[in-house]
Amino acid sequence: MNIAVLQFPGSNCDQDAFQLFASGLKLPTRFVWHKDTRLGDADLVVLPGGFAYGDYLRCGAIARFSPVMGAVLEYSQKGGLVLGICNGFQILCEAGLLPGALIRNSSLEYRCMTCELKVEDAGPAFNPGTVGSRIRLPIGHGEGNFRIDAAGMRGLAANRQVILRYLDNPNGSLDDIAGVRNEAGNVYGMMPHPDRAFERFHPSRDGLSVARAILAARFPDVIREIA
Amino acid sequence: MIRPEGQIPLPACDSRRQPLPLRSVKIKVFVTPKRNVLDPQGAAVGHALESLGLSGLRASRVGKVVELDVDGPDTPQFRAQLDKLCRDLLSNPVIEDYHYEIAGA
Repeated sequence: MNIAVLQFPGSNCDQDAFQLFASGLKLPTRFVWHKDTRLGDADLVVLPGGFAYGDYLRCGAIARFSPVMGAVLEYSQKGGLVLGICNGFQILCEAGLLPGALIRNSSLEYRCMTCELKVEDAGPAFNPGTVGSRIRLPIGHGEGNFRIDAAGMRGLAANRQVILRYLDNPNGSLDDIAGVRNEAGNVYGMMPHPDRAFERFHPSRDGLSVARAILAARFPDVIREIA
Repeated sequence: MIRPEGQIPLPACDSRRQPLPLRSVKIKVFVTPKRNVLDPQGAAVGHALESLGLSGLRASRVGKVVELDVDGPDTPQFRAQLDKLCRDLLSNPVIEDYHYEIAGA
């Protein structure tokens, strides 16, 4: 098992994401700098939260062209697992690895709070059975308002691509969407932070079940050992 | 030095310098939220304009302008490259439209 956490200039949850897997799940975890053009052996690539490249132009717009993103694209096309959290989710949408886009919160406010989330059954990897039907995760973002056109929304529903919905929508997202996966089921993105929900002093420890769920279908033995 | 009749003599040039470009273009790229996409910023600005006494406001949308000065001629190839850059980087086609104005320098 080998978890790769990307670091962009302006990432600020890279250490949190690292600790979620290294300390929370006790899995071998390492950082990959955005200038690296190779990922090496990786079983999961994590794009952490933050403000990559200052969020200039649009959130994730410039990070998407980082040298490492060529390797991430190739890795995901071969079926490799990818998880984007918050700014990482925005980068994956900008890169076209996930559908939709994230715009300014409808309140125009930066929202920093703990959210109740409904776990949608999005296939064997990510479903209420592996995650729990209701979970609590912190959010912290100004641009988490998920948007997609009508055809895209029909595609999300038909392929069960929505993984998480807000019970009390904090940002105006269409259909309360908090997280989605790609059609193939190997790329995941969410605005809430599982990387801020695994220590005893965190508002919840539901981040652990989210991290496990993403790895569970692909690496059942590893997940059974650490459960 | 003998030249064919009618040809304009070339200006003296210093080979150590980069040759001057034939022309340069000034571009203004306008990026705006798509009509059918919610624009919270535009709505907030609209409310403020109304509170300052503007009546009859039908819509207000906030976008951005990117100004570029580029050495080189305005050719169909250049326009094709510019369109690709607008789609890939300067705008996000999921939520935004773009158009641009080009003026020769």
